[in-house]
Amino acid sequence: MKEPRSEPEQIAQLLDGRLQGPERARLLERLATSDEFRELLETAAVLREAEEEDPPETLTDQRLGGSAVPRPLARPAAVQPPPAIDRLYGWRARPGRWLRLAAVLAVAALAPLLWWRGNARLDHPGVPTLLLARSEAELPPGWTERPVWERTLGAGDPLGPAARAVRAGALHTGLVLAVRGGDAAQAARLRAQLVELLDRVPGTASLAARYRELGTGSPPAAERLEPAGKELAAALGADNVLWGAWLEAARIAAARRDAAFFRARQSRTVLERAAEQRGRSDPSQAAATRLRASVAGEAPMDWPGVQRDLDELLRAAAS
Amino acid sequence: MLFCLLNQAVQPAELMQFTLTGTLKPSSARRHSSSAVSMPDCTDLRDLFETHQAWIRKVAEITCRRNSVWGDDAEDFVAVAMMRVVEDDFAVLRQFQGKAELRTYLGTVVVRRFYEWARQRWGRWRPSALAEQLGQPAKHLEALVYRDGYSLREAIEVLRCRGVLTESDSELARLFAQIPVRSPQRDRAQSPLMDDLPDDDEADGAVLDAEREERCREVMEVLFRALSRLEPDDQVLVRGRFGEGRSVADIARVLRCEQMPLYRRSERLRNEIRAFMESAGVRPDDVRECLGLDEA
Repeated sequence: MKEPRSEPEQIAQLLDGRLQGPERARLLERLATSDEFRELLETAAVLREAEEEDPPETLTDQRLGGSAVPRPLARPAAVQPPPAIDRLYGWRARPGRWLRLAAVLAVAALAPLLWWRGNARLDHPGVPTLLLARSEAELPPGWTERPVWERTLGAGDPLGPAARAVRAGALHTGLVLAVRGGDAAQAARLRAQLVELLDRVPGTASLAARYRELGTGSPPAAERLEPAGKELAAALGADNVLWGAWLEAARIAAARRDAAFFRARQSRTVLERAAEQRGRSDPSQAAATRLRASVAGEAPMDWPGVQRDLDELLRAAAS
Repeated sequence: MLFCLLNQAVQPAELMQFTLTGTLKPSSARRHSSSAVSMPDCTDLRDLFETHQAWIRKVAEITCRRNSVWGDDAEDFVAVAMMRVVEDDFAVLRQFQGKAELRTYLGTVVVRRFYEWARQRWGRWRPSALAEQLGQPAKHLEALVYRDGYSLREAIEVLRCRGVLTESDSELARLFAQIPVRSPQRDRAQSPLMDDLPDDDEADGAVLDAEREERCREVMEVLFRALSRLEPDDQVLVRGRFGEGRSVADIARVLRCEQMPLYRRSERLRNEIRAFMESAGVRPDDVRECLGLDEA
């Protein structure tokens, strides 16, 4: 017997955040395992687009900041064993989609990050690190011992604001990966460089303190890096910070021969814009154009060439 | 005919008859957006409809665009959506109890009506999860080629005329090559027996023969056990993200939470489920075999 459909107003209550407690949990659980699930997702997507074009006059629900606390996988022991497949997920099991879900969950090498590569917006310096293949999303050993740009120490700061922002984005990327990989030594080195960079920017003392204190206290550094990254982009200029973040992630991807990073929609968009942007030096422009062609082409990528071009772009942008 | 109904003025005599004999619910069960009304009548409902007409149109148009429906078909659906709200003396509005925002409620009604209308037109067409992941250009190409019967070249031309593409032809060809091959949809109007055929879900899974079916069933049982152990929010996140290829932004809209933590949470859940499945004896090779995949 086919399941009765949810009432539209109950779905609307859910989407408005007006359902609470057991009623919300029951509805979510039922929808997550039924044929209505796609309709729910599509409704959310449509409303999100419509609200962006035509925001509501008042925000009657302020739950946007809620329920971010991770929950454990296991439920209390009283949970009932799942019913047979045919009766559990919809009125008829659809093996295709469920097997694909199983594949995505169980098989690390199968389209690892294609979904968020396709959909994550490049609006945060932590996002480029998400484009890296999961198994390789750590900072390569000795990475911080091979800087692309020259250190600017001593009195006077020859760095312009754009170059500083690019360096900050690149250092933030390295720091995210070092923290993720548990590489305390490289994380400390990158943190110190970021703090040194920020110390020369008026009005960023509190941000510098946040990076300085990442190695101590709670919550874990990995959680504190996201808000720090957003603040970094806001303080130094999002475009250049993100450019630096992407370039550094791309250099790491090239070192790992991670072609999927460059074929991700975000990366292709970045390369298109980089190749079309004017005002760069000739070597940088040529590097950007070569990179775009290399990614778009059918032939295997010339990894040494890609690495050289990325180094050139980062060196030029960070100087 | 639809436009005539929408534009028809309500005569005073008819209005009086409606308010005396209509099946209006008590005032406690109905509200206009954020304020209550004592006894809603047809004039109130019509006013309410007209106030939200632009919103209904916007939601209908966005739904069409997202589902690769344009031109006359899209205008058709906009009229269908309007009619859905107007029909049976604005029954949709009469049934609204004010427990949610009216715009959200109307949006939910319109999207549901779209799926009903699209099913009548094209059968049970759904974008593949992979096309969903690859983004809107991939969904458009898949719909035009496999749903509407265009060649790839024709589909690209159609989309360029509509101004919805920025990618080059070669990029689109590479994108399309990643989409699973599907059997073309047949015209339902010419083939009423289509109603009895099962859904075309082959886009997202291999055809299962008898020998593999049992193993695949075991894999799915383990998967369902893993999923049933999750909290409902996490089930939505896992199935939406990994099963349906949806964006974190869409899932955050469902769960009413911040987007950024969902990236990390979905990674953690994926690792946990993978560990659970491995501990239950499901190997990656088993899953690949079920999907008919070669070794990566």
